Amino acid sequence: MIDNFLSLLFIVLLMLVAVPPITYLERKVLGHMQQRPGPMVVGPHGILQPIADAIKLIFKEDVIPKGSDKFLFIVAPSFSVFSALLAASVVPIGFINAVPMKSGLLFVMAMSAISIYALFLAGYSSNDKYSFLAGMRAAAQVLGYELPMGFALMAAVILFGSFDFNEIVKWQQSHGWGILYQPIAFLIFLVMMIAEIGRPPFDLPEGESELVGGFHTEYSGMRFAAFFFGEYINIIVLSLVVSLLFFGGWSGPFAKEYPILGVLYHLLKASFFVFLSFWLRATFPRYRFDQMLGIMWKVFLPLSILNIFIAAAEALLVG
Amino acid sequence: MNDVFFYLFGFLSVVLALLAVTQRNVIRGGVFLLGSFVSLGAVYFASGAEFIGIVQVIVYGGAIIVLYLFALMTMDLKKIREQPLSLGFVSLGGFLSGILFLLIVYGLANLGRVPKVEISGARELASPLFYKFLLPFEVISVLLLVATIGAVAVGRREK
Repeated sequence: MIDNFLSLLFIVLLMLVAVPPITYLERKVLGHMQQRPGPMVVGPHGILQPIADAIKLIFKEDVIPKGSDKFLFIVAPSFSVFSALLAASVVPIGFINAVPMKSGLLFVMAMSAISIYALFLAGYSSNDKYSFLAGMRAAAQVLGYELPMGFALMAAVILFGSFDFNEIVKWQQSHGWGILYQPIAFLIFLVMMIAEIGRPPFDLPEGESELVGGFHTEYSGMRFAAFFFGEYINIIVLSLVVSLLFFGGWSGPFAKEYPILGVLYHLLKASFFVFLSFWLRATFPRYRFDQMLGIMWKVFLPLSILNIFIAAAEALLVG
Repeated sequence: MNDVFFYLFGFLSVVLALLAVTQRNVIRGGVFLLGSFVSLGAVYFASGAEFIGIVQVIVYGGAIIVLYLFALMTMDLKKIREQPLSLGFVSLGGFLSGILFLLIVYGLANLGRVPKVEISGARELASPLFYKFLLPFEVISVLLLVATIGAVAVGRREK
């Protein structure tokens, strides 16, 4: 009980503390990939930039637009943070497992389904055309990515025979990493994960160039920050999940003898996927709306359904 | 401990459902309905049905409410608000909810305690579904397929 509580505290603190450095790293990585230095002014190499950002966000005036639905406007950002933190609480990092759950993977899916209300309600309640369009886009995007993502996970679950993260890693420790068996599921999950977090090239609800700021056009101060906390925590959580499902999680050399090494392996694997999300952002232009829905419904959905048959065959062969 | 959560979330679910139907703003009503569905999921959790609780949140909390809100946002709500209520609809709705209420009272009279659920995971749920009740399961899936194709056909014809 106390163990669980400490783990929960550790995970929540890790998520909240990790976000500011990640925003710094993202801007630095993006900068260097685009051949510019990135933040340079605040502190050596701009390392104090997140602190400056935090101070700015805290002291900024909190504006609630006049014609907005006040209740929903205030509630919307909390959906983003709380769903991300709840999802984080069930994902084990090495031996640190705050809420051991038989259906942990499904729980993460459920929380991702809830997190969309942040964008959707923010878009609706702002009483702003751009925000409203962004809210509609967010809703349509969910309908696009949720099915292929679900089917990709279904294939993985058929192979591993469990929704339990610990069981999944145990399976991989005896059979080898999941990506060896399910490369298609991995690819689909990776793309859908980027779409789920709403990051480029699937950042349609944000769309700075066409929708000003999309769902967060009217938000300022800490409410604005809440959306970004949610988004970045989601990146971390899904990176942890993808490295759990397809890259053996905390398994690695000497991980059994020294459990702390397992935690390190898992975090390292996950940080690669966090980096990958920056990389994709720097590389790809944003999809057009109909293109995104087209590729999801016409390419990824049939592919993910086909992949279920492959997974079933593998499950029969491997046992 | 679980009993406390069972009653807490049960109560919350009822209160949120009441708020959902009494709101003048339909979108707000939808959000309260979401809260009601999620706390219903928590009720399942508290009685030990983990899997069903999560599926409740995914299906009702995630998919269905998004569809409701999506559809509501595309409508002109002001126009709908100005339409007068017809007595026929109100009495039909009252009649149906009266029957539902009686059913619930009948169910409660037979129950009167916190149910303990043996089926908690996917495996326990899947084996009766795919062995014992395979035929009804397949019939329902064909029915759903028919409904989907029918919906597409109707939607296309109107264009």
